[in-house]
Amino acid sequence: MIGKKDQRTVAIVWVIGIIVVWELMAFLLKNVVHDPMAATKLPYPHVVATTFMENWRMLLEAGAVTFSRAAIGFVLGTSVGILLAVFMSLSKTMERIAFPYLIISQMIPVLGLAPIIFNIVRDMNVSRIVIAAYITFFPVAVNMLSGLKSVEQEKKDLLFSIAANKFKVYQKLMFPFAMSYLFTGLKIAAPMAVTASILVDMLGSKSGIGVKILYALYSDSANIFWASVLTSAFMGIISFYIVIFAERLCLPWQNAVPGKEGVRA
Amino acid sequence: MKKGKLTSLMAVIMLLLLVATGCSSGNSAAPGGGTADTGKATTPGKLDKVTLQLKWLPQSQFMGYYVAKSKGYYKDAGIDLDILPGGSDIIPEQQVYNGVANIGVTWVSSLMKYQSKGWGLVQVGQIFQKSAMLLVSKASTGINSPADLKGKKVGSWFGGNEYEIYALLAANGLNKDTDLKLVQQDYTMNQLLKNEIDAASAMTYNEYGLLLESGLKDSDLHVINMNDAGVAMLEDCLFVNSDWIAKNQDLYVRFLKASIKGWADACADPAAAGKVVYDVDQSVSLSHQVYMAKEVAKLVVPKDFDPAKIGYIDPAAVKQTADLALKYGLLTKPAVISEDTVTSKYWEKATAK
Amino acid sequence: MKSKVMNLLWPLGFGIALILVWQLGIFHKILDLKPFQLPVPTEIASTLAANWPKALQDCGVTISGALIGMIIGSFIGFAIAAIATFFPKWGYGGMIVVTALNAVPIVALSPIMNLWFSTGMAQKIGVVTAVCMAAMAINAYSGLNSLNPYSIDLMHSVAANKWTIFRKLRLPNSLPYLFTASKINIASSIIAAIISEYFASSTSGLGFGIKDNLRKAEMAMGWSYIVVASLAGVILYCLILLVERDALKWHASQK
Repeated sequence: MIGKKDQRTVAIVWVIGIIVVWELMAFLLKNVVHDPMAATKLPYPHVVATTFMENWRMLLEAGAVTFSRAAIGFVLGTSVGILLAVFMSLSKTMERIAFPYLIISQMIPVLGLAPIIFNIVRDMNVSRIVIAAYITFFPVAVNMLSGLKSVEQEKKDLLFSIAANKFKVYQKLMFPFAMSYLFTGLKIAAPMAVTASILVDMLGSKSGIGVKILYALYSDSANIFWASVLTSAFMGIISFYIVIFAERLCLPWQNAVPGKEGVRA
Repeated sequence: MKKGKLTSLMAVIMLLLLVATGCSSGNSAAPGGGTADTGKATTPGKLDKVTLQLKWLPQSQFMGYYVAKSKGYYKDAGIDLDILPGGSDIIPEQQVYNGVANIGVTWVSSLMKYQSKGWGLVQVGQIFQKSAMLLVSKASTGINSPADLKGKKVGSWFGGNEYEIYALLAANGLNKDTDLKLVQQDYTMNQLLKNEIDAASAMTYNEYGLLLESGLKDSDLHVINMNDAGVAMLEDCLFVNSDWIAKNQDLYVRFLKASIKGWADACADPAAAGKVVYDVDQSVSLSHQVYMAKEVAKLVVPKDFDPAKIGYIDPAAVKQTADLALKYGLLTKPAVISEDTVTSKYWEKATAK
Repeated sequence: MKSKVMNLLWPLGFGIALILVWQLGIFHKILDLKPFQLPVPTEIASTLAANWPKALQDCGVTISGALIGMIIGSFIGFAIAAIATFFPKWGYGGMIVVTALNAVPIVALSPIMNLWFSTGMAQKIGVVTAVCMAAMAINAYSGLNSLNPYSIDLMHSVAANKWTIFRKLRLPNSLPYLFTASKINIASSIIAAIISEYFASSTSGLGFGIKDNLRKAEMAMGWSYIVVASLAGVILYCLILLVERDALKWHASQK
């Protein structure tokens, strides 16, 4: 297991590294390539940081609203995703029936979906959460199903041989085995929940990071735009770490963060 | 051993849910509830709840409603007004039809299209008396008249906003498919600034101002104004769901009365109106909101127009919009203009002395 | 053979049942929708048939952008995961960066790509690439690292170096994960391409068609485009399934 101190050093070096590269690229763009739109294309990190500091309260509030919606949508989407995966793992027929429709469901853009969901739910805020869950359940379902299907036949046969019923097989064998796949899916779905929440912010909410991004975009406030984008990236990282934390709780035998040789299980 | 871990997972989820509900309930209560707005906190009780759906983001384009709200005109009329901002994925006609909002702001051409498809919506007030659509180009490109657009790249937002341009082209003998290239424009002026397009769509009150703020001067730009070219279509109007208005006539008249007062105040003092809108959302700079307010005032109360008549629906302008829509393909059959689709009776009640 | 036919019939049958329910207006009754809000299948079909050539052309534009972006994004994602595996201490930062990128919504990525690239296709590919990197990186990392400790010990016992371990052990082990990521990415790439077209300057493409028509109350046309996108998505997904079946013959999931 990499020591805590080492992890900290790595994180600091990365952050500094990214800022340095960013400053360099912004500098190049402005002064070497003489791009007239340099300030909008790739602003200096220190400019963005200053904007962030100036508006931190507004950005933080907006971020909190979006994040809370993302969290609820995430929990909802995850539950639905897990249920669907279990359902589909019960029989290949189920899987063949369901999967095409799952894919189709993801192809319907929010523009077409939102009025329909609103008609069902009749409440703008709940529709926002439903849409967020809608976008999140897919990666969770795919990964969880993958995990459930990866259980080797010998293991299932073993349990069969001691007359375990289907429920027990799931409980004692398939679920624990699929856990690692599930958490991989969660790591993908968590930032996507943030993305989804931001998307639905733009469906006429008055608060939230999505609103800030949209408004900054359409009023040409490039600095606030980048500061908001940064905030959403932060929220993604935070959600990622929350999932890692949960993974450490549930799967203590797994090294969520790389061990010496990158061996996990 | 496994049980303990599962319970911890449950605990984490519970905690998250708690935090989440805590955060969100503070910000979102009933449908349409929201965070800090201009205007005082209202005590629900005797006030009627009304939701207004704007066509776009909160900006001085809608200053009349914000001013009326901040000055308490709605409260005086017994209305608790909730203003919903629009956005790129929000279609006001659908929001009003679905009941998310009671009253909406949209462009007449778009409304007519929905009406022609059978949506039960009624236009009940015309706020912008003149069109604000322009085609802007850099003076260096040499587009001095509509005919010069031939062979150029012209930007339009499409989605229903392109019909004035189509009318302009046809009126000048240009074929929109073969004589020039129509390009989708995003909601900024970047494409024009980067010379990716030769002429861009712009609203007098918004995008044109963005160009000026980016350093260009009026003399650097050339403008084709839809009103001058005779191809203007009516824009910002007020509309409602026909079922809703049948049951809420008095409520709407009260709303309209308060809104007209708000608009009159806003147009009389655009600088103050700009500040009111700025207080609602600071993403757009104060100076831009004030610029927008001044330009919008020119559209709502044009020269020689009596502010008391704000919201007046000019039948000739409506007809022109309908005719242009039919001629250039927005509508496939003539628009039905009757008491069921466009009515001034509420406006007359609201402005009656 | 029979099971193969059954495999096709079941989803087809379900789909037909769904369409029937839709056509008969039962959805509309339950959801309280009017036909002009959600067109019935026959209307969508006739509109699509009438506009087939343009729809196909637009489909080509969008899907090609989506596929190219997905391939590039998957490559980069895999590379990031590989780096994180080879340099466990320093490489993990790359994973975090990719995750942060995953949280930037398409509506913000699109305008940024618009600024960086001037052609619509490049912008679309840029957005899709950014969207596909994370799913692939995270799944690939899982795949490269979720190893049976015995296998690693075995490798060490024959003095295999890092590269050999990678080729012979990690790579095959990660294949199922790569396919899982591809399944997710197929859906993400198409929807990302569609949404990025909302912001692009070109007027061709499924995204533009959907947005333009839905805003103009041309519901039938808008939904035809959505149907085309769905069909493309399902076909591509089935392709991946076919490839997976052959590539993972040894894996439990295919038995």
